[in-house]
Amino acid sequence: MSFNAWPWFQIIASGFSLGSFYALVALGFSLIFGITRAFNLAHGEMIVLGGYLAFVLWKFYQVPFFLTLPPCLLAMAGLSLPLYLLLRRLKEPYALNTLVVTFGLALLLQNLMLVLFSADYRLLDSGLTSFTIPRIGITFSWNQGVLLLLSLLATAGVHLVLHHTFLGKALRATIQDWEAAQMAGINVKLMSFIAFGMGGMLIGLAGPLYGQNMYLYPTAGTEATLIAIIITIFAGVGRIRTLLLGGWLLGLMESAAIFTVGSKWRELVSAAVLVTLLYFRPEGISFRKPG
Amino acid sequence: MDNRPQICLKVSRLSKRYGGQQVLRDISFSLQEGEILGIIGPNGAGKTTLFNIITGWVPPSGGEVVFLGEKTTDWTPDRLCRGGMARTFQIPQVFPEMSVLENVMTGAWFGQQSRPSAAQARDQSRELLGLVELAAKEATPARELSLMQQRLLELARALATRPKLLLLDEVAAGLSLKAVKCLSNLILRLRTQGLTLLLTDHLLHLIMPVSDRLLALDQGEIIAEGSPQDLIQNPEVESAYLGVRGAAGEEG
Repeated sequence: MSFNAWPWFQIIASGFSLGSFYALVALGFSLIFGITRAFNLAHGEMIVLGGYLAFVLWKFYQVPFFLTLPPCLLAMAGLSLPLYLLLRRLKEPYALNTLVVTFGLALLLQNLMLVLFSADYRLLDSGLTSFTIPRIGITFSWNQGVLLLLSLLATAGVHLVLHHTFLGKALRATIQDWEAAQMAGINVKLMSFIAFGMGGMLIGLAGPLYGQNMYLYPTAGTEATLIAIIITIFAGVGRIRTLLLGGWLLGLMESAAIFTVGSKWRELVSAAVLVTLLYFRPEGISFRKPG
Repeated sequence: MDNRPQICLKVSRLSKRYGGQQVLRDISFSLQEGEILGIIGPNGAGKTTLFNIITGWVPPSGGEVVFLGEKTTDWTPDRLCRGGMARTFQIPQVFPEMSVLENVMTGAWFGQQSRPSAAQARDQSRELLGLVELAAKEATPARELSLMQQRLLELARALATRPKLLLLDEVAAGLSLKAVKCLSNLILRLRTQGLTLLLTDHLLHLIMPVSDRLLALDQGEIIAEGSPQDLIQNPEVESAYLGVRGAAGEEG
């Protein structure tokens, strides 16, 4: 009999690594939504596409897992730019119109991935092993460690840009009030362009991590989009620390559900959290205006 | 050196239609450097639409705007801001999560032609906050300010962009007579520093004492133009204006 607290350690370890990853997933979504008001329902599909790209590089070109990250980052940032140009053409009501367009894009990407990669479940094997602490019997997988570390690094990086650079000041001003930002001389179109670029890079990082920790299949993105929306509703836009807190809470709840009642209940947790959140925050992701 | 006053803003044959409704018709006027021009007119006369077109928020259906010798009709608001044109809105637009000082510094950083250092931006912003009497609140988040204070904050942020032309839309709305008096003094002080101003006000107690010249707008057209004293005696202005004020009085 090993140390009797082990499920708690597992729940906490996997909760925090999963939660940090969820924060990363939400970060790209909330950055794009906060700055451009584009509600990107294809967010999850783009992450899964990034995951497939890493999978192909790893499987067919024997690229080691860590080396798939830079090309995925670049490719997804590159793919976000046509999306930016497409969404820029839309008229008011902007958020609603982007929702409809990106819903179509999500379906398109799902079917494209179905044709290209089939409906089989794929997993990227990064070759990392797990590590068991002797006698206590606690097992810690290095995959989880990488997930935790890279997610936190990316989140901290965005936090640093937003709070300690001129660009970040302009981005935060744009998030807080689109009109005031323009009156202060901020080029909001340029900010939108940058937001899609940064969001695309975050998607490009989340993709391979997804493929390494969860199974890739063409419709897997729906859940990632749902998670991004839940955490953004919880945190509001542009609040990275709250976003991280939201990711951790959701991650801990899901991992508690997995270890106590079984993994089939995991998705129910996020759906229940969404409904509960909307009960207490009926305004959803809408922007707070003063006065 | 040429000592003649330069034209700061020239608006020619501006018009705006929304669907079948003609909101502005054939508006032409010009504004010299250092001048204060007031635009008066009842609610719905087209004052705000005119402001929105000049500052690049709304494209006109016809006509053009020339600012400091350049045709700026299709410039974006932020480009106009960096080019020296600042404005305020009727409902103040501030950055709710930033402190009062940060709000003004944002204008100093991004709105000037060349970016000042952090220390310069802070000094300039503190000076402006002193000017609008918000210095004591510099650390307060902007969302906690009253509507009046937000309006003054928006004015300070506009000034932080170092404008040559400042457009104030209904800046006196809802202010007490004493506050209006302070604001008039502030406006006259700004003019001595070389600022050109375009104001709207649908009540007259701010615009009358400070304006060099008034333009009366009614139903999208200029119905009269002249000195404040001349204009207020113009029978057409009186009927457009007092008619509406009388009706508003009946409602209340």
